Amino acid sequence: MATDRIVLTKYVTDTGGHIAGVKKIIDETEALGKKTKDAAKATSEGWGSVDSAIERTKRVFGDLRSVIGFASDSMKHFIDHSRMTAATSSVNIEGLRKASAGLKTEMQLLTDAAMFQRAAFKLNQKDMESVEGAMRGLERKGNDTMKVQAALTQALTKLSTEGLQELGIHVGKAGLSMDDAADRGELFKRVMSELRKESEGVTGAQLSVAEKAAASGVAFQDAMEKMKTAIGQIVVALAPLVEKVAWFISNIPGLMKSIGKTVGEGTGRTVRALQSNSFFTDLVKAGTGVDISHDGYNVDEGGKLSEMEVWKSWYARAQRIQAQTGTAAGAKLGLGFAEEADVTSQVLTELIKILGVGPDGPRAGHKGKGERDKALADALAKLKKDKEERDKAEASWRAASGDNPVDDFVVALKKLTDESARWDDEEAPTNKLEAAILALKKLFTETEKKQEKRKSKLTEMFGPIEEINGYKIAFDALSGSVSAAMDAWITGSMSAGAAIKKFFADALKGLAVQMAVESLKHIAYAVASAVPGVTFNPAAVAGHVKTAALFAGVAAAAVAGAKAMHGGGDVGGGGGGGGASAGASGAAPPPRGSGAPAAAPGKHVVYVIGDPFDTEVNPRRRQQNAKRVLQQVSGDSAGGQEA
Amino acid sequence: MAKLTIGNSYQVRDKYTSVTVTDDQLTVDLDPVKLIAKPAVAIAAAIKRGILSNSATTADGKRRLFVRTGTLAAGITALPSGEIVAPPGYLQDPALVDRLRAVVPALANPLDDPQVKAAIDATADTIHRKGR
Repeated sequence: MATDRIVLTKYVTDTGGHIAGVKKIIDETEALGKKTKDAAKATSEGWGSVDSAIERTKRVFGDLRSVIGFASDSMKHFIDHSRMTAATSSVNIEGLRKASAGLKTEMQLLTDAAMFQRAAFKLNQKDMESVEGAMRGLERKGNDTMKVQAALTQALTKLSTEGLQELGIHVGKAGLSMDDAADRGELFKRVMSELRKESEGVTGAQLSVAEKAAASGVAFQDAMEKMKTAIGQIVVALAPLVEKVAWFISNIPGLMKSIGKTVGEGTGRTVRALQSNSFFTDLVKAGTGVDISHDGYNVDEGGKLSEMEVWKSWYARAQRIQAQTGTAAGAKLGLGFAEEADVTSQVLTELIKILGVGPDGPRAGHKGKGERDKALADALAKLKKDKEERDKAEASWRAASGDNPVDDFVVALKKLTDESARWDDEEAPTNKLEAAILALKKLFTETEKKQEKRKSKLTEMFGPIEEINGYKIAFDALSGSVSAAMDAWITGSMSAGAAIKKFFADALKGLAVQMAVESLKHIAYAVASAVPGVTFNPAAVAGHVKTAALFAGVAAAAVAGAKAMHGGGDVGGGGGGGGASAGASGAAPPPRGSGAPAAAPGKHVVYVIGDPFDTEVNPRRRQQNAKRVLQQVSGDSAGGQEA
Repeated sequence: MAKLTIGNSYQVRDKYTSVTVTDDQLTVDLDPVKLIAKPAVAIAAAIKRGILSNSATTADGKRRLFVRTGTLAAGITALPSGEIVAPPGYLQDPALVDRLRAVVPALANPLDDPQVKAAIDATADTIHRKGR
């Protein structure tokens, strides 16, 4: 039987191998994808740390800006106050305050007193008090404060009575000529007579509800102004210091820039950048006594030390060895210089690693801040120790060998003397860094003296003057508390006293945390500590300098991070440029009066003095009272009633 | 597996970084029907050619070994399954198939035929397509 068809052959395809290949491609693609994602994540983290470092730096400078703003504001206030006080020195302000029943602030009273001095005829203290009393009486009748002030000023200085007429005070001018001095005297007498009558109407009168509220506000405002004046006074005294500190701070960006330029180009270049930055080398020298500016063997052609610099370095070394041998010229100049340079550059390499700008990246073998701090302290200690040991060894060797090449030293000394003019300029104590150090030192001693002397309520409440920023925050908070308390009181939603308490607590809590221009302070402490004298505190030096170095490190690390794009580890955590944690570990306490709130971040003391708004406990009654006061103040007599 | 597209496209995005990765895309088409069609047709054609050009004779040399080769060749067909079949009623005897294989090289070793090779290569070229 025939079949349908006969199969001659069959073509088959085997895709197994191909499918395996495809699978391999898929796996590779996914692995690549994961790598890409990881790289993106690392990049992102790097940017994150750059970002936070920048934020911190910005915050430090932001704090500084607000400090400057507040300081200049206080200074202006102080100057105004001084001017007014001088102009009214013969007036008894306390008498005027009494006459105004405490309803005017000191500045307002001073302004009034200044006006009284310009009156057409001289007013005695009693007259002035009568005028203050008249002002209160007229305001109490519902007249606008500004209007009353203007009318009385016109009447007393220009003998113009139209304003008084509008306030319901009629002064008879019949038969009086303004061209006649006697007539003018008579008119002035009549004006004063009317004002006295007005004043008598309120003498001894109890304060109305509106006046009570106003008096509380005035007392508070007065207290604020007093504090502001006190701070202004200090700010004025600090002006020369501010200038020097400004110079000090203005050097920091330059330092960071010069380090930043070398990032990614090898440690050697960064070392040289640091070594050639005189501000940095001076700072390290002032803080540690270590001169890192000389490195005779690590400089390239462009950065070769001048002969003079080499001689300077040798001379310094000769002096040290002299001290060890106890002889006048016991050292052969230049010996051991290479070793010293090696150790110096080792320490610098370590420092660069700690700053996080080296090629090894921000972590560079040191994990946490504590470890970095320790590494730096160790490195510096090692340098000092090595130096001392070398000097000792060389001194004993010289003593044993009897080698005493005095001639070399004399020749070198002569050369040095020849160049002394240049030296004097460079070494003079009038150089800017030393000037800044001296000024800072002066600040600390003077501040301490002042604190001892005055022990004012202000400093007790807000701590030492270094935290001027703290004062500003406190002021902001206090102003805030007044308006918020009034608001709460009027709406009846909260007892005003409770609102004030809350604001004090919140503000001061924030204050304790924010009271930090820490890095600035630590730089200041570092340099101040390095100068022997009242503030001399060798134990604190390493800690402070390290903090200052870390401050620079933050910005430097920011640049490093930006260049490297990833791997930005804990520049943030450890940098602490503006952070309250800066310098916490290992550093001795700052050399000044103890008990400053900012010295113990997180610890804050809340002072609430008095509770003037808390007399009504019933919310409904509070609200009614508030409404009544508002109606009185706005001149709506319908609901008004005297207390 | 018929058709597969390889190649990822994804985005990594957060506050600081936005990375878009778009791989080159590769489409792999292993549809058996497509893979088989051209080579099978080419094999069938090669066998046809072999049959038509065949001039083998019987042992005595008096007769042609295969008769009506035109009809036979015309009936050679490639199927989607890859089978190359001959028309019914012609090569019923398996011995005939063996004899035909002996004289038609394309039947014995179809992959040696240049045109079959070309067809296989052409098909292989269609497996991969790059791009989206």
